[in-house]
Amino acid sequence: MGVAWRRAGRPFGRVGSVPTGRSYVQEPTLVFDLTGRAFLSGIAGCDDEQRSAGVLLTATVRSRRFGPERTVAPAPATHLRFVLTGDGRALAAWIGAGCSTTEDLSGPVRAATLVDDAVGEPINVSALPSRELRLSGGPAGGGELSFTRFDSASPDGEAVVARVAPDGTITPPGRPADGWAAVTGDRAGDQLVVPARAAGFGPPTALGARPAAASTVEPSPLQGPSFFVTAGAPDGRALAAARPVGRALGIAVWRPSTSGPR
Amino acid sequence: MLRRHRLTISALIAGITMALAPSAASAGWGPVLQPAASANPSETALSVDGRGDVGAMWLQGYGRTVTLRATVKIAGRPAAVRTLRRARDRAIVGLASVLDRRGEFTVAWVERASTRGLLHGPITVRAAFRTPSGRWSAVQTISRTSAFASGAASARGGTRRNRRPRLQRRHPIGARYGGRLA
Repeated sequence: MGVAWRRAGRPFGRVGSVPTGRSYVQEPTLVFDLTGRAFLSGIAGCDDEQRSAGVLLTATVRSRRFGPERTVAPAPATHLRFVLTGDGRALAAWIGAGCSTTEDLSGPVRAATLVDDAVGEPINVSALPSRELRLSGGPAGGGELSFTRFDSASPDGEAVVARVAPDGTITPPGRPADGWAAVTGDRAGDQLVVPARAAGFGPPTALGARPAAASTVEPSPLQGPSFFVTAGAPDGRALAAARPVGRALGIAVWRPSTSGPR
Repeated sequence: MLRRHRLTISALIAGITMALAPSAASAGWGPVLQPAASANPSETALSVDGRGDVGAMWLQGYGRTVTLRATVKIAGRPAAVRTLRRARDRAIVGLASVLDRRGEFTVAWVERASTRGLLHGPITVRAAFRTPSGRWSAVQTISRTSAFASGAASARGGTRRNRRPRLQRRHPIGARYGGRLA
């Protein structure tokens, strides 16, 4: 696995090596905190379904070298999600099934908190077979998990959410009271949300912004149904979404309308 | 003929204008930005900073030709659309972008030769960036590798599956190449 770095205004340098050890890292996710520290996460050992585990590697902006990988999601794990939730804090969530390059396996949902490089014990969020896991940062360093779970009462799947409190406690998953599920968050916990629907039932029918300090959803001017491309500001309060509108790409940006901190 | 005509029109207006379409945006949402030459994008990457500045790149395909374009809206002002790449018989995947706090916009993607949908030849990672002053860099080849490896870089998100930030990575032969589309 390789990595290339660049400084502002300068081209990328030579491709260096990432010490991923025993195997490649599948579904890699790269995020930076405000100090410039890089967090690279993903699934290692995908060539051995029962040994696949979620790993994290970090690099400071000065060293530009990733340290050794650490396990954040014990095997079996796949579809690792990782978000920074504040200074020195992060959330990880994953599907507790083997990673496969040929199948999208369902499994229980687990999560863990990270505080100053210390990885917490895995928390069982849902024991039911689940898939389509999403994790978004939430207000005050919390977060929201959404996924589709399957059981005998809902063989076609049920869309549920679980809220993660800043202290790491997680609410039991259930249908969201307001009907919305978060897909993207910004640094303050403002979220882009879509109607909570089970996987495989088509694109989202709508998109909205849910401010961190409010429970109301502000509908996007971009109409559904559509697949939306979304983004959240890692350094402040702003959300963005895009989708084709007529004969052009439509891009909309949300910012808090109040005079709160930006 | 129709495709060629559409391409000509798009090329003429690319990099010249951006349209701000009126919309019924609710409180908090700004007007919908509709960049020139952005019809029928097959893949899009999007990034935003804490000031509400936004950067986007998108891929368009007309027949055997693919075109990659990008733009930014900084301090409420849309910039000209930049055509980063136009190529024939190439597959472009893994679009990724990031807009940093200074307003520098970096984009990256993965390319490979494509003959009637059959991918072959080296896999190339390319990138470019736009400085806060508005100057675009030349497109840079980050790596050019055998079929054992593929990659992309930086951050993106979305409601499509697999819209996540990604870093250069390797696959064994036969594994999926580049980004997965919904």
